[in-house]
Amino acid sequence: MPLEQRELPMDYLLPALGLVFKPDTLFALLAASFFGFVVGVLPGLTATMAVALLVPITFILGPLPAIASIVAAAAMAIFAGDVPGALLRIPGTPASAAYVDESYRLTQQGRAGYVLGVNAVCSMAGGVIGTLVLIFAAPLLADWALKFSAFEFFWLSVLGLSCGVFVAGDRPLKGALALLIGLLISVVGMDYTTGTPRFTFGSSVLLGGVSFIPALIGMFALPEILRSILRGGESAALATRVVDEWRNVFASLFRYRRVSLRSSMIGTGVGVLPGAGADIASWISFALSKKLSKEPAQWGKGHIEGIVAGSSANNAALSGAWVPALVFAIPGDTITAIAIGVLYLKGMNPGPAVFINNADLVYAVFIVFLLANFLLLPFGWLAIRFARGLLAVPRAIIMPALLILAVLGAFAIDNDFSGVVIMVCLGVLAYLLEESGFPVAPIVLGIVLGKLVEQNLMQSLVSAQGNLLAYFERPISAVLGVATIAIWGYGLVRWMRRRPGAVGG
Amino acid sequence: MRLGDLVSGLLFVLLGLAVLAYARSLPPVPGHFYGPGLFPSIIGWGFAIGGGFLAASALRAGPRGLPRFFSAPDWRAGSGRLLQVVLMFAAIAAFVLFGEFAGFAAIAFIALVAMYASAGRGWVQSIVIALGVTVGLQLLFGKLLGVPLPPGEVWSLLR
Repeated sequence: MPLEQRELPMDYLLPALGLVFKPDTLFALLAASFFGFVVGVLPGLTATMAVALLVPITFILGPLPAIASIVAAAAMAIFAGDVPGALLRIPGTPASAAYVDESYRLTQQGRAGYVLGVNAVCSMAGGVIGTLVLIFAAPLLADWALKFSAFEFFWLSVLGLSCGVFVAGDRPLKGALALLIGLLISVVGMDYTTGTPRFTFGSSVLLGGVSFIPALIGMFALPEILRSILRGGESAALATRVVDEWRNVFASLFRYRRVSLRSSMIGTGVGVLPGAGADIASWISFALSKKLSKEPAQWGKGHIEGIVAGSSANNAALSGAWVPALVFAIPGDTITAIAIGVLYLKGMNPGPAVFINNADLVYAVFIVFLLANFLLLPFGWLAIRFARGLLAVPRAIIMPALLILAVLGAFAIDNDFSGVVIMVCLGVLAYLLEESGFPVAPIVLGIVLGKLVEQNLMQSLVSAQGNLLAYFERPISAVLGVATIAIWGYGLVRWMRRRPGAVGG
Repeated sequence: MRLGDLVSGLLFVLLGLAVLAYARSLPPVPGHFYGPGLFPSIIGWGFAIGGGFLAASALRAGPRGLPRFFSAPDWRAGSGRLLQVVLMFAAIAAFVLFGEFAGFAAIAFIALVAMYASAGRGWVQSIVIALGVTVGLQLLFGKLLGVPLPPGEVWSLLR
């Protein structure tokens, strides 16, 4: 498209407003925020689990309310994960782990209300900045990606898989094996070129492939429920009072506005990388802010700067992860991996063309992002008042209820108990793998990207006619191919350089 | 249960070989080296090579954090906790096997009461919470979301 014809994002944003401000969408936003808040506050339950459990409920919703509920639940769960970190020194989600010590020290000084306020405000700031990057970068990227052929998409999806293994994980070999499990799961069912059934072993249920949502519920909810039963963990008593300090909160945000901005940008960038999400974003920006801090002596004693950095980065990463998810159908984190499945089901097929075919809907999603992030502020206010009561509920009451919810979710996808079987099989597999030191996130990446990789591999092989140099003949394809090979080289070098005592994946 | 890297590496090699054997049995596309078996073969090779590396590095490094072969620290959790795990899987199995027959609500209620009681709640408290959760989920999925939850054939027989 010539430059002067290209429409500005603003031209889409206004009509999209009309789609968003409807009762069902707004109600979905609020209800999902509340659900995300509860799941995020409970230690051990991740934002991904909140989204996986929510997906069956999104099935009966229209496309926009469905996506709105995913976005809102994820954003709220990542913020709510900060709450038990501050009050109990237990991160509610892994994304809050980086700054849990700083938070808890401030709580011990009687300033829990201040910490929670900063968490809410910075989560909002990070989320909004990440969303703005998404709004302006994604359409430009999509415009460029419209020219891509099977070669580019093949390299891009392989690059995405490689990032998930080498950039995100600290155990590349185990990550790679986990990824292969995901790829193996993705080839179950009818082959897309010839229709040959593969790995179905005569089962008609498996002809359509392994049902994705039950698999996800199994992998993210079941191991956590199992661990919680086996290891226990009653609610801990809270010692301190929680008092509002909003004036100080906004003063701190102003004082550390550069930290927040920088961390949000880093968080967005980490989110864009496939496989790396909010957890890694908050660790990286926490570490970097510590290195660049003007008051290094204050760190570790309850210094708000690290909390600003981490809280901003993890929520920014959520939005960043949607850039590759929308433009290339390559998930930036586990949450968007689930979201991509929902987008397909709702007829909003992700890919560069989504910005043409479903432009109104895409921009409506952007507005939903902003609204979901603005909701963090009132929920932060509520958190200061009610989180203590929620944390006092014993986990032994919540876990069995979550188990029934997981069974229901796995059933509701096809209204068939075969989904429950898939859920329990993959749940047990994920539990064993995690116990044995394998990461689970690459499995999800493999399931989501497997079909994309294979389809583009077959298409590109057909058009290459056996000439493997064709994979490097188109300029963008060549760059992506070289980048992929470079990542593999880097991973191999890093793996070989490890001391013998540190090998093992 | 935890598997040592040596054991899991070897298991991956076996899996890889099985996948490769299966991939070879898939019909090729005439005149081409690629067919429905190509991508599974790549995966199979990946398992075999990656699993081999994992096992080899475990042999070289010796145990580190993980057991050499396998260990089951979960079993030390105590009989009460293990009973809860058994109940959890029994509940899932009951849904799959008897879901259509007994209906969702009945199984959910019994499973919840059993799990709460085994976790040390009193019977009255277990029944009250289980009833609340069952009714809540039945309303949410059955009424609000319109999921056709199995009502249970047994109840229509009784009527």
